[in-house]
Amino acid sequence: MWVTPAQPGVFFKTAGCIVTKKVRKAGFTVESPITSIYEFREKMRQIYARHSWGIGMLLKFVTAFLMLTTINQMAGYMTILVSLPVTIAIAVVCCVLPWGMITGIMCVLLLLHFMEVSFIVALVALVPMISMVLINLIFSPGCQSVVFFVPMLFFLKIPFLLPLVLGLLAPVSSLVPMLFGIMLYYLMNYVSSTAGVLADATEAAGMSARFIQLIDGLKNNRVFLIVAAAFIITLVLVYVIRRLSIDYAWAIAVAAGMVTNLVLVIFGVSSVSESDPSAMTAAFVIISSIVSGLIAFVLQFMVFAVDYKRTDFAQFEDDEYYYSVKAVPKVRIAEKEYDKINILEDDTGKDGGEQMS
Amino acid sequence: MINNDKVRLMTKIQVFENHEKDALKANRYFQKDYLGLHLIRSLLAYMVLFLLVLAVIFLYNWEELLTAIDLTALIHAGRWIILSFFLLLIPSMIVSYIVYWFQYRRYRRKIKDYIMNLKQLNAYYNNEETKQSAD
Repeated sequence: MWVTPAQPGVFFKTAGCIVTKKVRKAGFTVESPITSIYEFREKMRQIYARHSWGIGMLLKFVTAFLMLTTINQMAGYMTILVSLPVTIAIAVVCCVLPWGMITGIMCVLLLLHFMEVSFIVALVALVPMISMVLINLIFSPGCQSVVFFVPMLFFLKIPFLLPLVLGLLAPVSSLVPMLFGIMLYYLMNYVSSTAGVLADATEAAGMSARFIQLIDGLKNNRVFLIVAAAFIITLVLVYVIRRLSIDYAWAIAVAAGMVTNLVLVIFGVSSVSESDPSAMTAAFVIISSIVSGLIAFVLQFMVFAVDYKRTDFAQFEDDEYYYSVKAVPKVRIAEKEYDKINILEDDTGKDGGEQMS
Repeated sequence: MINNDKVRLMTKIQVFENHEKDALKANRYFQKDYLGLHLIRSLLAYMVLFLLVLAVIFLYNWEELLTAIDLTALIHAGRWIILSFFLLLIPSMIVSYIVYWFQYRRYRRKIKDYIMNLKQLNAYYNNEETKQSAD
């Protein structure tokens, strides 16, 4: 007997199965993949709420390890600090420290590496570090840990992610530590290409010439100026757009920031000669911008658009008891709704099954 | 016997104290005192930063400066240094004032709920004392 769509009850009666409300004419359940992504995001939120302490430490370890690897690869002149056990040990210590102290440790390690090359190199690197601390006291821009995210992202070949993420998450003042990070990155880059010459300076006249050479290395580096300008404009643009009261403001901000960054950097690096050691190819800029934009979209959806509350620990006392409280945030996941319908012939002999609505 | 409402209240208070240490520090000052303290700190930091930048400029141009040194040039350079110091100082202090004013206001908004919870907790303790004295 052929089953017609007008007689679903007969088909299900023959099959004798339990079906959901979402059964279509073909007899399959159809669920939107978008719903699954939202459920996955809520699951992530639930996992973070329960294990925030461990996840936070793991993230700090991974970030610190990547920062240390970046410094070792770009400015690893002190051999004892470059070894893997020392790197892992420092990253483990950074797990339990606040981000400000982690930035301080990275600064100290970088200065130690530069001291191995020359005192003058360390002195030139110390100037932006001290300036950043002083500017933090004057204007309180915050986000000091951003400084070492810049070289880390350059090392991972996704530098264009930073202005997008900062524009979404941080205030506009975060462009100050971002600029210092770009300065430190191009200083490391310059020192790595001229380390042999810079190390060969013991007399005062030689040290003075090396000092001028280092300052000129940054001042005359067109790629540094182009990247700095492009990042500032992108960050401000993303910040302004995401604060607008329009639908999908954050997604529009990421898209606009990605395109702006790409156009500015492509336009700028096209004027730089290929022999410049810090020059970027157009292919690298395009691919890196697209990858950074996609990562920013994913982060914006999975991380930034959700309030990730963490487990809190509190200890206090009153006259009668000492209290040690663990507060776990409630995260409710919207579960799928099913109406189970048992299609079987009932005792009255009527056609079994309820009509699907 | 444990009073669940009181424990919830104390937990909220303790969690706030764990996470908002800066807001609690700012709460110890009146607005004028807070701004004044940070402006003095900003002024000192600005002076050190100015001297640092001046030192870098001097070291970068020290050969030219030493060969062309004479009294007139020194006086001229001194005037420019003092003028640039004050020209940059005034906008820096204005921006610093605005930044810390907004920061203080933000901290005060956060503190309001915390103070309300403290008053509620105080009311709990007063009730308990009243009950004990009545017994």
